[in-house]
Amino acid sequence: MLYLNSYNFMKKEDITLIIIFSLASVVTMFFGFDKIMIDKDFLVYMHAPCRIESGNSCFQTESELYHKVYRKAYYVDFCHKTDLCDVFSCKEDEQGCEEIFCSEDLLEEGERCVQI
Amino acid sequence: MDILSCNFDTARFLIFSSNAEEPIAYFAHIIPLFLSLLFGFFIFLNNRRGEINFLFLILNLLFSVWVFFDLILWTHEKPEYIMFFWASLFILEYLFFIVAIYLLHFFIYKVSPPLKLKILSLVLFIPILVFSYTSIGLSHYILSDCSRYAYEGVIIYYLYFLETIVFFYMLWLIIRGRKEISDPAIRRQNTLFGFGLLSFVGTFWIGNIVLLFYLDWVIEQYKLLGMVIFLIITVFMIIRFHIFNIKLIGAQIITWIIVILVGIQFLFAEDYFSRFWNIMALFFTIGLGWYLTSSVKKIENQKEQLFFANKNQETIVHFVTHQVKAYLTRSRNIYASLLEGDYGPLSPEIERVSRIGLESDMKGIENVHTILHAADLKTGTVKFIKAKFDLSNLLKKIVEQMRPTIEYRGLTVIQKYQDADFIFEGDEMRIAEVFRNVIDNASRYTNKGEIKISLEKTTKKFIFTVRDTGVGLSKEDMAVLFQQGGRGKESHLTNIDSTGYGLFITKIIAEEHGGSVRAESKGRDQGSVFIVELPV
Repeated sequence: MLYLNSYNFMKKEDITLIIIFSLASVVTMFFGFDKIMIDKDFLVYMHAPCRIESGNSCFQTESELYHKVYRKAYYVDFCHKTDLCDVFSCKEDEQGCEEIFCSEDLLEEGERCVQI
Repeated sequence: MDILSCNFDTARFLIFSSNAEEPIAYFAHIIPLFLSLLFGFFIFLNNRRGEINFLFLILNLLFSVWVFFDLILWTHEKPEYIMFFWASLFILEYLFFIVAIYLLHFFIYKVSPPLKLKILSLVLFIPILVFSYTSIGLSHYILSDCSRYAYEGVIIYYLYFLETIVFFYMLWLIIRGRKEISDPAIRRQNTLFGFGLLSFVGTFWIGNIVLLFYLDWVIEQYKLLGMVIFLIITVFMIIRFHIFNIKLIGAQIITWIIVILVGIQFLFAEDYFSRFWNIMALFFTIGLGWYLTSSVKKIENQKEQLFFANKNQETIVHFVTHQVKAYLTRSRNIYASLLEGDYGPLSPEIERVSRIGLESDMKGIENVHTILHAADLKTGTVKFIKAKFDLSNLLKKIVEQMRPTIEYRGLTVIQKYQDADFIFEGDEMRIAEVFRNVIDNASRYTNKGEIKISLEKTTKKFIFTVRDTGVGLSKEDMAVLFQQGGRGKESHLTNIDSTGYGLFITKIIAEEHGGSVRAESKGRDQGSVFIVELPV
């Protein structure tokens, strides 16, 4: 409950507005928490090691040879410090997964295409 | 490089890990976080009824949560944590920018911001709410290196655009406040507070813009120090202008807490850059602490002297007003005797002058009586005798008593009573005074048109409203309206007999009954509405 003080300048509409702002923020954050933390519904971007059998062009920088992968975090196994899991390739029928191989129009600073 | 080779530390309690490589991250977060929390609660708890204190707490709370969430981004290793807390920053950032506008508006104008602005702020919030947790908020998390970085979506441009507008709007509010407010002391306070708030908002906004162009996360951290500048200015204003109604000793304690906090941070500073900033902050706060300590002693002495001076002045004022009242009464009796023919028939000229003299003395006595009555109410020497009575019956009686005077002034009286039970427990004589004062005030400041009087009841309160078509109230008038001797800036043009005590008395009586009184007006020549609320 808000109090009125000697100034008496906070109106009912101010209190209503504070309640609307608070409720809207809390509800949105609740859904955001559910979407991101529980469902892991967001994209992760990775540099996947260039696969020799792919026959596609790969991106090359001074230190890396790769193609780009976007995957939903839900499908990515964040297996830190182990090398037993494959986080870099799309599974069959995996929604939102995209593997990007090199082409001239996709090049960013420091990158070039190489054909393996 | 891929995530498999990133040797991330596991965060403990969300924020403790070795992942934040730059010590400035902890330095820039921990100090503003603690200071804003400490200040927000300290100022609010000192005066829980103050709207400005309340808004100050909200601003500091939102900022503290923002800082805490931002620190998680520096320390946590899990992508979902980084994505969630990062996206939440957009919501919090928008909220504390809006609260900053509110706070500034309330501080300068002592009124709520316009309704259009409130609706606009809500509408502009919708895209942030809808898109923050989507790819428009944060496009994707980058696993290709060990940066624990997310790629921000287009919402960031929208947010920074709004922040730019907020910054310039606040700047405009400060400049307009300087033009509109004539009292130089209040103008100085407003400007200083506005500068403090603007430095907080501005540092934050500039930090964001720098980040947008240079992607330098270390420089970006300095945007948080804007809050420290704002808080230091606030401490100075508490000492110098006594804002927030905080006792000096409280301000003294809080300043030394800042000194200790800043000092402690020195122990954690690992590089020369951090140490340099730490030493600068430490010197600044020590200087402020010293200034405060010496001020407290001086002001305490002055307060003691002022207390005795006030006591003496009160006695003198009571003595003088009683004496004046005695002289006026004697003079009134002489005029009355003359007019009643005690000294024989009067010539028309002497009779005319005697009537003017009698009227003038009557007004003088009434004014002295009002001032003495206000003083008695203020010192608590007036006792309230409470009993149950019908508010609507009382109001109808008062209106009928006052109707001839109001109609004589060429005004129409319109009454509206809700069909409800208006039984109220209070001092009937004092509540009658409230009704009389508010109606009389409306009729004196209305040259033509009507006075609408209404009485309503909700589940929690009785609402007595008087709406007039009179001269209206400016923002400055509203700030002093219910204060002792408070009068509108141009009130003497409409009501030369105004003492400025009527509404002050009304306020004290309403508050003694657990109620409140307030005024609303769209401005000069727009009429006014006076609303008295009493608990059911």
